[in-house]
Amino acid sequence: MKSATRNYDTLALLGACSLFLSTLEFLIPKPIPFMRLGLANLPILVSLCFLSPGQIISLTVIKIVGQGLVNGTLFSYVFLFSAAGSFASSLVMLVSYRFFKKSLSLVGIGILGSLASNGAQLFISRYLLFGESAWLLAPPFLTLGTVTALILGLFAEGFTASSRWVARQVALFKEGSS
Amino acid sequence: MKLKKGDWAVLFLALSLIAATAVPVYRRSGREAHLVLEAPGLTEVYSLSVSREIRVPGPLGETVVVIDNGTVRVKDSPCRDKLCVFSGTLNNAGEWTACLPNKVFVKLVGKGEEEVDEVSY
Repeated sequence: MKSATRNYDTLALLGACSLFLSTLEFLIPKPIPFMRLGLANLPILVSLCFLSPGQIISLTVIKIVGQGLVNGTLFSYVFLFSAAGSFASSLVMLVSYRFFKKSLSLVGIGILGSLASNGAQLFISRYLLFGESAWLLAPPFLTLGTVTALILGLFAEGFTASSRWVARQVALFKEGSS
Repeated sequence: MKLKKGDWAVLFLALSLIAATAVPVYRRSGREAHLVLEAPGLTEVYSLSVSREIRVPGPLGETVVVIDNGTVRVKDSPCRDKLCVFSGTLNNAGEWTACLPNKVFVKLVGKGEEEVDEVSY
């Protein structure tokens, strides 16, 4: 019971962290509102190894709502893009972490997540917003997504490898699940 | 920290996806202007260099589109207002007309056209 409560504290902390990163990201000008660097994905990427899938999804929901609040897009069409992209990316990251942990580091998982997110958003913009010309967005979107995912993945990999806080969370998680 | 084998595979996948989307998109924009016809269940592209008459089927009947000397106009359409006919001849890339009742969309696409006028939010 105690470790479960601590886990929720962790979830809240990570949620707050992704809110903060959303704010940082909001400062950076973007040509298209749902184009994102994906900074707020960092907490999700880092916590793959010590949160349960359910908690990862909760964290994703917190991130989506938080981003909506920070960017002021909670009740606009952009929110739909944000939600679709975030869910697609979290699901893909969860699945790839679960099944390909041996051959993928957080770098690969992050890139897969970013591809999933961009794919979902391009799909929506193709059918809801821009029609065929949505494909014009694809190359810059995918390029930016891959580059930032690569950098964030390298950071997350280094962070999880050296952080004592992460090590403690992992230990707690293992204790709780065994 | 070392990248694992799978990471390189994923990176390669991402790069090939980028290339796969970039090539058709940027090659198309370099071509000469051409005519794009859209109707329910149908999208057709015509070159402007061949003069011809095209009958496009729609819910109300056939809309007749004429390509003549590199220009395009709607000659006839089975609609009430004939706005598409009265909108005259299309000369430049980016110009378009449509017969809304018959759900036919006629557009010139190609060089010199601004793909996106303005993005605002």
